[in-house]
Amino acid sequence: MPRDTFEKQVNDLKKTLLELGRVTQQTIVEGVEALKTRDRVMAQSLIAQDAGINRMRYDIEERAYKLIATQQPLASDLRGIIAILLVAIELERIADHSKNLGEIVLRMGDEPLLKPLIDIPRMAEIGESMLSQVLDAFSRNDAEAGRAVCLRDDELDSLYKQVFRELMTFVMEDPRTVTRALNLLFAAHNLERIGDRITNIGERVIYAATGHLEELNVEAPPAAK
Amino acid sequence: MFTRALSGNTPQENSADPQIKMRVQNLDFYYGAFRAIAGVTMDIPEKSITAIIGSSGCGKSTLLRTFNRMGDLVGHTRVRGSVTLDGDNIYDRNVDVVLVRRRIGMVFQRPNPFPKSIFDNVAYGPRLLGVGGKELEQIVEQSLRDAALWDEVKDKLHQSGLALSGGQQQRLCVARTIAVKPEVILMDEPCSALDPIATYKIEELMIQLRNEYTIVIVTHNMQQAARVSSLTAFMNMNPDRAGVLVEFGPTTQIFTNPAKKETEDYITGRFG
Repeated sequence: MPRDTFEKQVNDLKKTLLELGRVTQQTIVEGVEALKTRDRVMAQSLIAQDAGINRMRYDIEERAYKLIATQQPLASDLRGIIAILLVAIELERIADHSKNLGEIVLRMGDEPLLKPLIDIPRMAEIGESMLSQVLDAFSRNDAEAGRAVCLRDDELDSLYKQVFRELMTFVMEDPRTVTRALNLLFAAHNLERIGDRITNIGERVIYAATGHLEELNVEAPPAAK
Repeated sequence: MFTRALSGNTPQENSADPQIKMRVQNLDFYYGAFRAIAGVTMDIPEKSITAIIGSSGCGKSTLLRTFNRMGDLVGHTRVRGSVTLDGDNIYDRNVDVVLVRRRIGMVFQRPNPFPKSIFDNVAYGPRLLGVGGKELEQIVEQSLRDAALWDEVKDKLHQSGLALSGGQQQRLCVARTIAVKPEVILMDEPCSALDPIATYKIEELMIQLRNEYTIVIVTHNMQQAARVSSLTAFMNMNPDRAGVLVEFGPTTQIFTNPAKKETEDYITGRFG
């Protein structure tokens, strides 16, 4: 092959990205586990991990810039490297959302949970599984698999709405629960945002594989009153 | 038609599509028995830059030279198919080849100024057409301005063109080409002998010139094609070693998402 060095560099970059994906996936698991068990040590370790994840993202970005500047990739090579760059940014943000779960655990202290956690762990489970699927689609350059993952974002959205409604009823019954409700709502919100970021990754998978930029899961604007 | 009476910059009435300046249809080009170009069909839009890319020896320059009948200058060559300018076939028997080359000018790979002064280089074509005096001076100045060279040479117009730097010489050649007011400018690797700064100057010049001229450029530099052209043609050799047009489309598409695997393999460097 005339571009062995280049191909090796791209493959190495892809491997690093998938490693970042694996680490990010683990942060979702740990975030919700810390929330369920109110484990402050785990929450703190999750927060401490974030700097390393950020470094991984910057390392990927830097290597991608260098490849673009020195190798002037075109066509599928260009799309692949741009996708790696953008997916790295999304993964780092997903890890930030997980870190937020850790911060919520620390903020809640010893305060009892407002309600047993059912939907929030379910949301984390879906988010983690979606991330695993989308990374798999990315590594196989499979646009259809990328698109399929994004359909699952609706499940996260409806669970989030459900959590929101439920917490609001608690607040309406007893306004003193507002802080505890907001902590849980904030946790659910972060998990819902993880779904959106995974959708963005799905869009990059489609772009890398097909060259088409398409926006997935566009919500219809609210009807005019 | 390419009779002297009908020369001019206005598209002819019989042009099938006013947006299309040149139309190449089923073009074959032979050097003796060897077919160097096979079945090329492409439309070149007016006032835009069309790039032709492809590996060495695939027939890019040969194709470009068929666009103003430069191939005629080589013995034992023959053309099948047609190349039209504003709807008229430049290979028709009654066509005045000199007029074809006046309407379709050319800039070559290496700067090739005449061993004459800067002024005379640019004045050469207009003088042949009988222009002189103040009008000639105006044409020379305007052509040098259009070629983005005037400010650098205005005080030394009577120095030899060969004393200029490579990049300046190439812009002088562009000025010489546009002095006879062609409608199409063919450029065969115009920057291959230039350094990056001179290259960028020529590219900027091309971008400015495309408002007035139809430009077709052959280049090995894919980034250059990507930077300056709106359409890109990718050529390759078929098993008989004849140049064929593999893919022709918007430059952005060719460089980000080509339709043919052959194009993808070439532009990503996985060719051969």
